[in-house]
Amino acid sequence: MKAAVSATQAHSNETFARFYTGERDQLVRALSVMLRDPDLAAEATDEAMARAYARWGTVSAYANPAGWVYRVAANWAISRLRRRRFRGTGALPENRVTDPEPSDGSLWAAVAALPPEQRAVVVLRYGLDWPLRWVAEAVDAPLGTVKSRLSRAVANLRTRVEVDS
Amino acid sequence: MTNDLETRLQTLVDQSPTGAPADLDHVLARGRTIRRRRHAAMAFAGAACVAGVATLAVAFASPAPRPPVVTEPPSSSEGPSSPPTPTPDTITLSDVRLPLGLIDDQGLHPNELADVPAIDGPVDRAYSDGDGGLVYQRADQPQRIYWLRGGETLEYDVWPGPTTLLGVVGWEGVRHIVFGAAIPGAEVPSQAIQFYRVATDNDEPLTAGTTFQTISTDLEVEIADGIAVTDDGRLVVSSCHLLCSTHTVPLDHPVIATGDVSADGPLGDPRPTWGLDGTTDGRMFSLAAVTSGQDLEQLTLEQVTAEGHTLDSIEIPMVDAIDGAGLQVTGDGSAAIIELRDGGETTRWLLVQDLDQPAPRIREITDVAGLLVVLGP
Repeated sequence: MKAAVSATQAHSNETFARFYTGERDQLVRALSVMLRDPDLAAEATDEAMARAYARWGTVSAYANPAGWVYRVAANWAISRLRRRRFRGTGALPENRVTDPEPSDGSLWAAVAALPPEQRAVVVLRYGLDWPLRWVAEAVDAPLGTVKSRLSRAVANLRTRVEVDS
Repeated sequence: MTNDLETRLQTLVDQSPTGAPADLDHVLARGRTIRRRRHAAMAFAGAACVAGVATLAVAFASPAPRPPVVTEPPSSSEGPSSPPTPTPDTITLSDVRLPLGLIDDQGLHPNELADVPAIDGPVDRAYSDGDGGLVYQRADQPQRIYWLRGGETLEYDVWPGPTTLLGVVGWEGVRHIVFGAAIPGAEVPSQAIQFYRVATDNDEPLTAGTTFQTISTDLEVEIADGIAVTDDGRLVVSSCHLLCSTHTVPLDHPVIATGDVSADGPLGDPRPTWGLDGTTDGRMFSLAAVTSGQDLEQLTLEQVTAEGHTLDSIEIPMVDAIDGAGLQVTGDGSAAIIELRDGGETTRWLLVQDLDQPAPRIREITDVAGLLVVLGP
């Protein structure tokens, strides 16, 4: 019995390690664009990954475990940012700037100017290439709302960046 | 979207920095700590029930939150640096003398005090209609609202698309069923809060023709987590996605805009506010949070005004980390049910009794794991 439990635990660790290795950096990048703070994005992603590991039996059964991690990480990071602002030592995502500046500065600035909810869906849909259903689950919003946000986000981006036809 | 813009967005994300390097060992260790802490908290809750840990007593008379009193610190796996965590006393469901509905995968099961029959099927949301009936929504029928009253179930497709039942509110002696819905094809504003007028004698059917008011808004109202109406006819909506905010607007005002956000107090400051519920006489309650480095540090149940001022406040005992909470208050304001959530899942249900007395009592309902608890009238 004990051996069976150990084998199950080893398998769980192995599948989580694969998930972490495969998904972590891309989630951090997406959150970096979302939060405009790579260090906070990395910290939030690892905290959410730890919570996923603590309940891996449940989370691993989801259609898109990375979506669960994104949502937990985003909530965690925003709570952190709120506290910074509460203490007067930081700012909410609307006002943060990153260092170093990315190469595509005009697009970076345009994405940064989007409201947080639009920024989230555009990053997940086009940055991570997730299907809309996954995006809806990750941001905890109905599919129709995600489509609406995406439509508005694209319209906003079009007005702000010069796009080659 | 042009392919070029899509490609540029992909490249933007791909080339974004990753901050600190990946550290699987650290994540695994942190995950084990979280798991141990959760198990320790559950073990302590069970032990507290057996040992009869002294009842915590909190005062509801001062705006400053008073911490709950416990006589025994909980066990903890966080090491000596972790502060003692106040833990609520416990109560079993059968001892909760309130009308409740319990929702699981099979449907809704009222307790003996709730004057509504059981409902089979995947119930998603349910609210008392304030007159012995129940307004609810099924998970498999997102465009439909059901109203169970007097032994019959009425069904209404109130909107040409998915809707979210937000609650039943009353003012000027008339109840209104409220739901939020996306307006098809609209740009900004693209959401609506709809009020369906329901007369006290139930003589007005819930049909499209009885819409009392549509309030357009650029809030993402489908994730509104609480609504209330003040006794002077103002609508207060709490909504939360990425940023939480509470908006107050006169009921005859056509649009909820950013400028309507309460300016100060817990509803207007950067603290997360979760849940909002009102009593029949116009009092409003909300949950306000203060976060620490990694987890929520303090949660308070506050009686608030529509302007965001705190009238009274009590601290809610926290055992483990949460990232969300829900609030239901009885119509007379004497009791409340608090849902604590983490990672999108309900972790605990708390019962607050004597909410209108100087010393409210907070206890955890221990035997409702996996259920959604709906407070009756």
